[in-house]
Amino acid sequence: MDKQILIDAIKTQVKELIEHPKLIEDELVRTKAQLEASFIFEQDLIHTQAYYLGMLETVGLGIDKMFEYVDKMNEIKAKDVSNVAKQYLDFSQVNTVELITQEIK
Amino acid sequence: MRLFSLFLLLITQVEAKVTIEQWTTPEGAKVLFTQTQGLPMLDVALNFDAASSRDGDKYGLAMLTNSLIGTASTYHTEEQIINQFESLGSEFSGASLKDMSIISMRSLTRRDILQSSLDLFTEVVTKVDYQQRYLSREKKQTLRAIEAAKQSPASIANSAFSQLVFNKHPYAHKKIGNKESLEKINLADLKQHYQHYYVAKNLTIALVGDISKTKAKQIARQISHGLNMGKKAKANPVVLPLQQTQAVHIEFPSTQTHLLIGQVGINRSHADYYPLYLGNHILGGSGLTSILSDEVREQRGLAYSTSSYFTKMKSNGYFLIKLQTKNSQADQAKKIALETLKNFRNNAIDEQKLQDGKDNIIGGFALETASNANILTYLSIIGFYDLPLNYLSSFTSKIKPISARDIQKAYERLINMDKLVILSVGVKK
Repeated sequence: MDKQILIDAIKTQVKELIEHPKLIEDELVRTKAQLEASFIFEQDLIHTQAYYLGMLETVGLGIDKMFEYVDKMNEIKAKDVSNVAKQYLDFSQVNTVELITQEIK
Repeated sequence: MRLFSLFLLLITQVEAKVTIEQWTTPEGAKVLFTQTQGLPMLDVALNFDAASSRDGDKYGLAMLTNSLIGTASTYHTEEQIINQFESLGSEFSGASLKDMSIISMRSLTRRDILQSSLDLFTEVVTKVDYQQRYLSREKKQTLRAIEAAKQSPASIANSAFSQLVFNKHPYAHKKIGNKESLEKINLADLKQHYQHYYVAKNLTIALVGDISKTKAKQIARQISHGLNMGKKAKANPVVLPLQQTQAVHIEFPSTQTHLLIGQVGINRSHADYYPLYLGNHILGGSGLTSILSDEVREQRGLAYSTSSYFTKMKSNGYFLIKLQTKNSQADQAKKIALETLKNFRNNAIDEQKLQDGKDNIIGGFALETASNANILTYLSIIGFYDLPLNYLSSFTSKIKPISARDIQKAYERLINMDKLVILSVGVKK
């Protein structure tokens, strides 16, 4: 497949998200459920808990972020996602890398 | 205050004793439950005595039967099942070994999520719709795995070792089967295997998480209610000791030679279980500080690493010393490994080594049950292998009184230097 077709398809998707945030509402519900669950599940490892505490404190966010994360994440609306997409997914700034497969020797 | 309570949470998780409750559901499934607090989540593992030792002559059957659970149920397609678990954030997985076939799930304990997850889980496990297209797909993937294994000297060595130690026992063959055996397996075989072995009386349910015992009872009941009662699978025959030493070399064009030395081992209720356990830790189970590692690696630089272990299967597993070395050093490494084992079997270790081994096991024991996932594995093992409920809480007190002589005697009773499998995989000698 021509790679330009792929890149154009990605651009179209992002454009649709920016213009019609409602389109991702179902996906957003699913993603939130998964993020919350995996955040809880990964804390089953004590070293993950230690990692979060150390990381949050080291970068200056503070360990309270660990307790706020799920609530804050659940407050996100489709419009918020579309806003950050608009701000950061700027295709004039994009770098593209293509891995060209060779025959296996 | 937050910080304090968080630390308290971490500390209680590590220090807490694991309290296990056990009961049997009306349908006959054995249930083990541990309540943990701190994280709003639940782990469920269903352990069926339905794995590759139940294959008969259809090698690969148990694994295929297990891997199709989750593909389709009477009411849902594979895509719907995957989508629903994803929307709930729940994790579903399966694994099939030689003794145990396992189906497990992890879910948040928030009421709506937990109930929906359990309903789906129960349906997926108890109302399996075996379909040809999924069997064909799984067979294709298994064939690819079989081909890939042929490229790996480690994998060739492991399966040849099992074959030599277990001989004609149902543990001998590879659980993924082979090309010829897979061809013979059809959908009816899977359905039959499921009907026969995925039954309540052949099941150990392990539950770990932040739920009450009442809730745990209800969950276990729900799952086992959906299954046929069936019968508990008959015990496999006990693996018999080898009659003579078998020295085998398999040619393989690799730069390293894989060396495996061992013999028939033990099950978890073996009379010498604890001295053998502690002894193995000191001999080859503790990584770079073990005796084997010292002899083979530190003193002679023959291998990057070497280890020994027991697979503690229901009908006896194996004892194995394993190392990899340069082809040109293979004979020397073999000689040293055999000498080390012989010396360990014939002479008691010194007191310092004994004490270090005990300290390491006892000091590190709390970490064995530091996560729900670890506790779940232990509950499954305790239930499936009929171990006493105080297995974990009494473990360190069983290790403490063992003497160097106890270990030596236990190894003398078990290891027969004239009846070993000595297997090497590497270039032509």
